[in-house]
Amino acid sequence: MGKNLKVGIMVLLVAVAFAAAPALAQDKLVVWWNKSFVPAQDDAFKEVVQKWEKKTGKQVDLSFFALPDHPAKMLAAFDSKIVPDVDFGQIVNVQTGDFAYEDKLLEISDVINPIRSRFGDGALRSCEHMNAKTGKRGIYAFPLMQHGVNFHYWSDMVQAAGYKDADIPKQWKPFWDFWGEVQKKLRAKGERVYGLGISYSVEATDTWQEFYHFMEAYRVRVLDDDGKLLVNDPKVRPGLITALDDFTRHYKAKNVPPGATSWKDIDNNLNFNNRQTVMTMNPTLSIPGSFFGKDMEAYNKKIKTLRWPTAPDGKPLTLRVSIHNGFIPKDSKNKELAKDFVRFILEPENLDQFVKASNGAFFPVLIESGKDPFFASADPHRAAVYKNFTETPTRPYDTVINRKFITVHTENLYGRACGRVLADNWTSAKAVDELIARMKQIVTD
Amino acid sequence: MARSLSVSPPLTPSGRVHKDSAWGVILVTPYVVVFVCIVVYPILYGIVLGSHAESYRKLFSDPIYLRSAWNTLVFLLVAVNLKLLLALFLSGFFYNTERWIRWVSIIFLLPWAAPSLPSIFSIRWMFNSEWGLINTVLFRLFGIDGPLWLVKPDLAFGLVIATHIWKNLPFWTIILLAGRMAIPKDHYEAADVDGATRIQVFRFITFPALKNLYITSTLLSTIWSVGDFNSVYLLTGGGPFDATHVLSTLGIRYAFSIGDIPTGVATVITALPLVIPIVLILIRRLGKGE
Repeated sequence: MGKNLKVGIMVLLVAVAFAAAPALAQDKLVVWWNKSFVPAQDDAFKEVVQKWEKKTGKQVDLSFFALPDHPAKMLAAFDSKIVPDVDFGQIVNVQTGDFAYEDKLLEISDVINPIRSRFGDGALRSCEHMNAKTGKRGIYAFPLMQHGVNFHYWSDMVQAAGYKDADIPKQWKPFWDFWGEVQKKLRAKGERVYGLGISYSVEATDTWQEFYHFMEAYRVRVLDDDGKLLVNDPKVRPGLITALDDFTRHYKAKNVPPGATSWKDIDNNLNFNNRQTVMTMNPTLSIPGSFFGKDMEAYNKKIKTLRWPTAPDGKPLTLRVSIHNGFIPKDSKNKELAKDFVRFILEPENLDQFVKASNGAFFPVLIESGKDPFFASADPHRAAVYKNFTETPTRPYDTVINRKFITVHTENLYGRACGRVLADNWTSAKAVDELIARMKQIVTD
Repeated sequence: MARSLSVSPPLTPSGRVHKDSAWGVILVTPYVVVFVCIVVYPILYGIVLGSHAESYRKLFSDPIYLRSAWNTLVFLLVAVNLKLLLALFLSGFFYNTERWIRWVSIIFLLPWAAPSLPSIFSIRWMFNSEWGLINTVLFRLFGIDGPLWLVKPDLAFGLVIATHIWKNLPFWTIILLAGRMAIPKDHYEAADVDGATRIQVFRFITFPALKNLYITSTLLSTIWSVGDFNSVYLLTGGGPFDATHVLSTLGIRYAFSIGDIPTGVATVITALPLVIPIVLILIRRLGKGE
């Protein structure tokens, strides 16, 4: 064999290897998944993946992405059309409605419809979106878990201030004022603490999640159930002003750490965990969860999880819930395999394994799983959440009923209104007028 | 004598491309391919992404944009000039050859050598209003809550500028120190013999010798600082209430927080009228050998 021929054959082999590499990679299911705050949840998902690999004989190329990194990665993937086969990201899924509208997602009613009865209405509704190309609504996501906004407080700090747990009021205004009184008592003892941890920044998603509950408390809704904007309703503007006044008055009264105007989502956790705030609101149970296994005295005795007080009219307020969904991109190279994978992880046994591993930070979307003693009664924090989900009316956030509200949330218009009041010294009325104007602009665009 | 303007590869008498020229083409091809892939293509793609008129309409109607553009201008004017001025004077200090100054120079270099992420996060935690080191010490010593460093927009932006200077000052000090070391010593000796004061030495010897380097450094630093994302993003994240954004962080906010990549690219493109003239001036100066 001549030298030139040998070189030629080697070049050919290398070329074949390169050409085959993408084909081999396509045999693997590419899954991008949210990196959990709780490492055990990542491990649980890896186990579910391994079970599927064993069952099907197929391989999964699994990557975990941290919350803030995931959206950029996914947007770049859609742009380049080099997408994963399955994706779930806690922040990414805020934009699911937009992705579906832009025809970037695979319609998966054949996956969800056969198991519809397993899920609650809110969970199902959160998966249904409009596709502008087809002009039809369809199921473009699959529900995994959900969470509401919870209250946590340091019981030992309340006691140090001279109160008992039972002293915490259950009516709206006395409830909020109570934490200011606790702060006063503790500061009188030389402790540099704040009564309340409320997010007011535009950086934190906590801000709009918390503000929604103040709107619900004052019976204000900016969208009806069909997604129609209600801001021209004469009751809505005054209601928004009252809610904004009430929401921001705690910061003005200096009962909230001043840095709350620039908090990121993690900062209310950090302030509470460092005992800088006596009580904080927080989506999910990640705060007590961060003590689980490390400081069980704090988890079991010092930190308590409260239910919401009654609204100012004395009746329960509707709690807003965030449903976390995954999706299959339309440009997936393994659509059928991806659907099979999704069917597998939505099996109650597998989904429960994943959700429970968050140590109850999230609540199941499967109706039967929610009744499991693990969520209902085995743990004081989870039991409070269970009661919120089962004894109080709940409603998904407005993005589920109007896709344009994704922009309302990503621009954090409610946080911006807080900024106008707290940083620019605007009146709540002026801030609400700006909020309404921008909301109208976004919805009509 | 007329110069040949031919750019064709030299031909051999048989009309074939000369062997050396062929090698030249082979060797330059990888560079051209890499240049096209990682410079030309991204720039053209960016221009395509940022060419939607709708993005600019949205951008210019957003009050955060005007504030960010203003912040960028202030950042460049204050941070770059203050940094270069400090670097100029500090280079004089480090020009001294005492042993202790050598040790100080090693410590002085650390902020530049340390990675941005941990060092800027450390500053952020130090200046945290509630539990940061500085306000905790103030509370322990005097019972006061301390300034709201990263909460008040002006104070937060001042800290952004201070952080940028702290991080980049060592580099520019070294550049100007190298410039000082290139000045012939006999100029100083002659000035000493003539009884010149220190101010006169600086005015008539040091500064004229460093002037071109100083101006070039200022231009270069301005170009680099337009893209300084870390000082803002890691310290304030653009907050509070989007009041400390510069164009580079606002572009990222649009592209990846809001998911509007064209408007994100458009944001950065609006900085080009500021950058391109500086680049042209810089290239012209370098072309003249100034």
